[in-house]
Amino acid sequence: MKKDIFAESKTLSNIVNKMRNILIQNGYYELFPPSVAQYSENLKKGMKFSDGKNFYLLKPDVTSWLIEMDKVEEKQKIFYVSEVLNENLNSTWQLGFEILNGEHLKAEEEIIRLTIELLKNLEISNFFVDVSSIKVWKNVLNKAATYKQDVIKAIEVRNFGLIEGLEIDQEIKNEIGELFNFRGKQSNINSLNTLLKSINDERIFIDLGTIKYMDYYEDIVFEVYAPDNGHLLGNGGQYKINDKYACGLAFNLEVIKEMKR
Amino acid sequence: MKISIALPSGRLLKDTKYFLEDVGIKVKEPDSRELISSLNDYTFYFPRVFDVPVYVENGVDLGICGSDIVLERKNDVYVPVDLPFGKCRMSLIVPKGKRISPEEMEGFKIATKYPEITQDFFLKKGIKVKILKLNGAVELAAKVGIADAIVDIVDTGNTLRANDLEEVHKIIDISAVLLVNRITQKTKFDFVNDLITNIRKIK
Repeated sequence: MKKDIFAESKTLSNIVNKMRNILIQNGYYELFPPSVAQYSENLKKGMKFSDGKNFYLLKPDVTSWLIEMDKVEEKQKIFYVSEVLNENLNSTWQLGFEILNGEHLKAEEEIIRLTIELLKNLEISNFFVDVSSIKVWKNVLNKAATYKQDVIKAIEVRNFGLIEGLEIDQEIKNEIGELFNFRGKQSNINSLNTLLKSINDERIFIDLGTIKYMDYYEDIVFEVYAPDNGHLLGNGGQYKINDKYACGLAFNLEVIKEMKR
Repeated sequence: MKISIALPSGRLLKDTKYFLEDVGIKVKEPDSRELISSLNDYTFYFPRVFDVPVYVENGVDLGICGSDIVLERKNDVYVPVDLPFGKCRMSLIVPKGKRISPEEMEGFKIATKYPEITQDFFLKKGIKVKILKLNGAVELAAKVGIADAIVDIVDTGNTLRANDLEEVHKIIDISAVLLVNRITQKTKFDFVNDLITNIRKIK
């Protein structure tokens, strides 16, 4: 049976319109990122191609493109709806929203509050937000600099056995083990504690182990998920553009569409 | 708490069943040709072993398959622990008497069920080869001569000997591994961590 492209689009359109309204009400404006960007190793995802002279990326990850553009001066609150491709031409539709040139912790708080509001408006209440800190992992990675790539690989697959096999101090291994297994409401990381306290929503957890290591994130990162769906609803975090503090989150619209079904 | 597990049909299934029983999970095999069974709070799925990571990435809580399949399919799943069975190796193999190092294989045709792992292996060495993707009985390709070498799993080495082939280089060691869905790791955190702790004790 052929896919009903009109019904699919109608569902997506209803979801996006609801989210767009909330974002505009909250002072965000829509950004229209280009489909094609000059290739850079800093750009994530996208389909690489060449016109015979230069290399380009078709539909790269928008946050990494924003960072590469390096244009932020004033505070901007933006959102975008974009198709993102990977190298195998698999595509996902994303809705992302970002605060550029924001303030430490206030930007993160606003992004998480808005995440909750957007999902509530879509009548999705059975979800959780996990927060973690890349900075904490970076500190550990610096201590085990020789094995940085091995530790990153272990973090990505969450395999502590890989860490145990490395020739690094037992103290560092123990520290990594604690990070892997920390999940709760109160940690020894002040910024995360403050964030949880100020938002005060029982669906937010500190989970230091379940992060994806993205090299543009600087400190706090988030993952949004629902127990009845095996995929992330969205993820994001804090980064810098042009040395300005920025923070954002992108929803995976395909997963949201599945949940609405 | 309901837990779903994708189990590998084929040669790993027997060891998987024994192992899961050791960690307190009794497996029920499906009746006749069904591909699903349930026992207590567990639902078991029996896909082709090559598809186990796909099921786990897309919502099944846990899975068990060989580490070769995880490396080949590159699905977004956690692989928190190796299991103490399914041990073998993936090797580069040539017809007997034609021993040559991988560095000298520029332009070779390599037949394999594992094009991704093979490509990564030769790319890291800066050697360009042509890969022929086959779905099984890869030894035949070297024997017939449609490939100069093959990349395949070696267990006892009996199949190689029977087909006049020899290993020239071990690419990776392989074992069965536990797979965990990324969201399950969060939503069933204590269950998953306790399971991993039990597995590590048995290992």
